[in-house]
Amino acid sequence: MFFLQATNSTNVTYVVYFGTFGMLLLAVGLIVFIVIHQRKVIYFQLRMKKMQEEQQQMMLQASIESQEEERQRIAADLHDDAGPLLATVRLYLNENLIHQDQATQLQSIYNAKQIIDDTIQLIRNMSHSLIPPTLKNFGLESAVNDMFQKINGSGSISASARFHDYKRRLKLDYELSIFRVLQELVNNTIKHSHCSFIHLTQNKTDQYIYIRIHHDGEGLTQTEYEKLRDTPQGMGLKNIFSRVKILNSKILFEKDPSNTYYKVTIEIPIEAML
Amino acid sequence: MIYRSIASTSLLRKASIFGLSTYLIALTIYLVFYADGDYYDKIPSSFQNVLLIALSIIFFYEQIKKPEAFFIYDLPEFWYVTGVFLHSAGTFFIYIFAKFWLQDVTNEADYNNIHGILTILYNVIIGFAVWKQYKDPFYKTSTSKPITA
Repeated sequence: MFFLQATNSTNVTYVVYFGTFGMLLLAVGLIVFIVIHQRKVIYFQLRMKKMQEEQQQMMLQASIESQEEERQRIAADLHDDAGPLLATVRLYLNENLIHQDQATQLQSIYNAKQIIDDTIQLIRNMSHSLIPPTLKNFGLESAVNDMFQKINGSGSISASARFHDYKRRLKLDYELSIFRVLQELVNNTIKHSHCSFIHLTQNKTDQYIYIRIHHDGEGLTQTEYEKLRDTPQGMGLKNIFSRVKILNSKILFEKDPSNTYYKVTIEIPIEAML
Repeated sequence: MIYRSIASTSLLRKASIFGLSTYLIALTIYLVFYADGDYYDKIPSSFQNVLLIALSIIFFYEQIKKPEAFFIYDLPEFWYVTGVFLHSAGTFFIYIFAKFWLQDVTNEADYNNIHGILTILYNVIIGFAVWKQYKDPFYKTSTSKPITA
């Protein structure tokens, strides 16, 4: 209306002045807004990048520490178990053996044989702890069932696993990673949750495999998991996180709405795993 | 070269080509059939300003959408577009009302002052953009092309 009323020269002058001033103000305002907004976005991106780098650094650290722990455990097993056994064998088979009577010789050889058998068994157990033979030969389903049978055998926790659709095996590397994640989750549950049962189920859609662990103890929610994962103590959770990330999968810690149990769901994309 | 450097995205390129073609067609039709005399008056100049403002806004929009982490004011293109944008926004009203306003001769000085100030501002900003492009001819961004003598 104001423009239409601007019929005389003075009004037109006002319109031109205010219009020009307004347009310039709008233009400058827009440019300033864009610059400020872009600066904010860039600073946010930089902060995110820094956080990601820190997280990667932590993951790397956790992975190195976990490898180092594993090495130390193997070294301790070799030093404390295999070392003394082999030293004992050496004692049985020393140079004096030939000067002894035949019965003592046979007894010594028999004892040495027994100890060598024990050593072989020990080394086999160590090797199995590095990669479970059931997993290697029969797949994830058998390895998980095996693990749950052992837990059941203890008598204090009822453990069961049910694979609904796992006809085609995934690549061994992936199966091993999934197994390690499940092992860590189950170990954590046994250690910290005071549960009376653990139940694992596996389901499949066209794109994903879902593995779900339920238990009736004290568990974690997603927020607690994310919080604990970023603390220096959360080594196991960091390992879970890094393995899940390598698998390009997702993990979700939830409390059942009925408050009777906790569940952990792992969503694994099938395509890259076959 | 500056066009190629500024119109680096598909949306901006399409918008520029479409806008300029429409503008040229509309201008021809206007000049042939409707123009009151043989001159470039308020309607085409307002349309030109609207077009330039719209293209500038599209440019800014495209820039803030980009994921690259460098500041927008480090780009010479930003200063070219800012110059054009401010000039177009500033001269929008004086071009629309030029014919009407200049009927009174006393307004001519004001008109010239506003127009002159905006033109000086435009030239300063464009000059700054050119200087920026010369100063750092190897500035590596996805859009900026160096000016070499």
